[in-house]
Amino acid sequence: MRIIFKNLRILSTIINAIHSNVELPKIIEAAGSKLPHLFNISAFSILLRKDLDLYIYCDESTSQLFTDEVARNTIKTLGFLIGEQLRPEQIRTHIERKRFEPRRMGSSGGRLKSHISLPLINEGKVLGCASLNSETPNAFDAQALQFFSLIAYQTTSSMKASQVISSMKDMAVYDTLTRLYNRSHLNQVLEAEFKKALIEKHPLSVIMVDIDHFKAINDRYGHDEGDRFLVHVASLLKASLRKHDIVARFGGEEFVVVLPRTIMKDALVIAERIRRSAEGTPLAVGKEEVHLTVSLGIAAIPAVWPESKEELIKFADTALYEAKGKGRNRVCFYVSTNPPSTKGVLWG
Amino acid sequence: MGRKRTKINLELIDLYSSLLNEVWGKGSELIGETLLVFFTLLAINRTPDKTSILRGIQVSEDGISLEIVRKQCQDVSPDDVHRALQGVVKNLFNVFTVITENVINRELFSTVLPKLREAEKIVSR
Repeated sequence: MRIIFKNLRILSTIINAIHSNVELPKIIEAAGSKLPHLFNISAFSILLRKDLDLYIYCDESTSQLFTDEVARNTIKTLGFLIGEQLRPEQIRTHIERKRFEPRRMGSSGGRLKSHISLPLINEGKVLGCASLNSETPNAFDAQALQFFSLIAYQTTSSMKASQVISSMKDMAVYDTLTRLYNRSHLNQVLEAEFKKALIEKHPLSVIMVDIDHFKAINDRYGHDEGDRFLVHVASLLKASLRKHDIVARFGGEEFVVVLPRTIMKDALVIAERIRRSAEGTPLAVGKEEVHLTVSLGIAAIPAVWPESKEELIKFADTALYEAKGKGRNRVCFYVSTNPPSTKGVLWG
Repeated sequence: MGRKRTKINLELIDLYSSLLNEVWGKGSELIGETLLVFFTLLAINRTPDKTSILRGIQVSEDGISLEIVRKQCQDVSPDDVHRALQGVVKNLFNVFTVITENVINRELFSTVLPKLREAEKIVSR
């Protein structure tokens, strides 16, 4: 009876540890570090169906052979449950070796001798598979299975919470259609870059990009094709930029590119690269090839001295308006007619 | 002939219904209803079903019911009823073997095996 109570207490600790984490690697570590108190295991593994990530949390004494067997068995079991043949090369394996406490009894030469594996199920769909793996034959009994099924349920529930949080974070940052940053995230990033430019006296350029005649394109080809054009331009923008540049969908068919530590001259080169890339990469619509063009407006610190990030955007927008007025498919930049503001004087 | 066939079918369905309920009772104690529903549906879907009677098996977290199978079995031979339901049981045990080696099966063999033998006897009558 005492043993049962002790085990129930350990089970409760494991469930609490899983429950108090929302990131999967932390859930696995929280569970993995406590599972050896409850089961005679040498490794705990979880394979996720979505990204085919396999996490193996194992005792430091286990051999490569053992972890390979654990990986193969976990992959095979998930494949069986979902009715698909999963190939080991599709799987990204993450192995964490820790000294298991208490020390294991009855280890029998480093081979996988027994396991229990349970699917992680949400609303009838398999999210993954969790396994207890032991070097001892017949290491698990009915009570172990009962306990492990509770752990699997709790892990699924924490994974669901984790997915909700991550999709909420995702929605707060990314535009759902183009997967570029959204306007709200752009505001945060630009605010930070604007402050940095003023305080650390770095140049900062902003390019406003607009697809030419987008309304006519939408009217002619329909909104679904219009969305494809937006995604197409988004991918051209990403491909034209450097690693530290930031690109966001500003709204409709407008995009904003933020170029930290970039002077006007270099921003012009990048803007021209974007323009040429759009012009030279037609998009197939049925049998037709559609040649898109974009107009671009640049504003750059220290060529101009905006009072705020909003004003910097406004300057780029004015330059964009000029590009449209001059016939589209071109790059224009904003030239300040006013003397530098206080911020500009401080900077210079 | 038809009446005799229906009688045998009903006897078989009663037997399998009792067998599956025992599996359900023990299985839900061990792994909970959600997982058991999943495994049972997996077993049903992987069983060849030339007479379509398996479509009548109802599985939910409340248990397994063969009531619809009972109503629809008049035109099916006892051999086909037996083969289809036996296939489900075998596949369910196969699922249990893959996921828990023999932990679940050990708990169930003593009650399930005599019932499977009894089903064989009913069909061979």
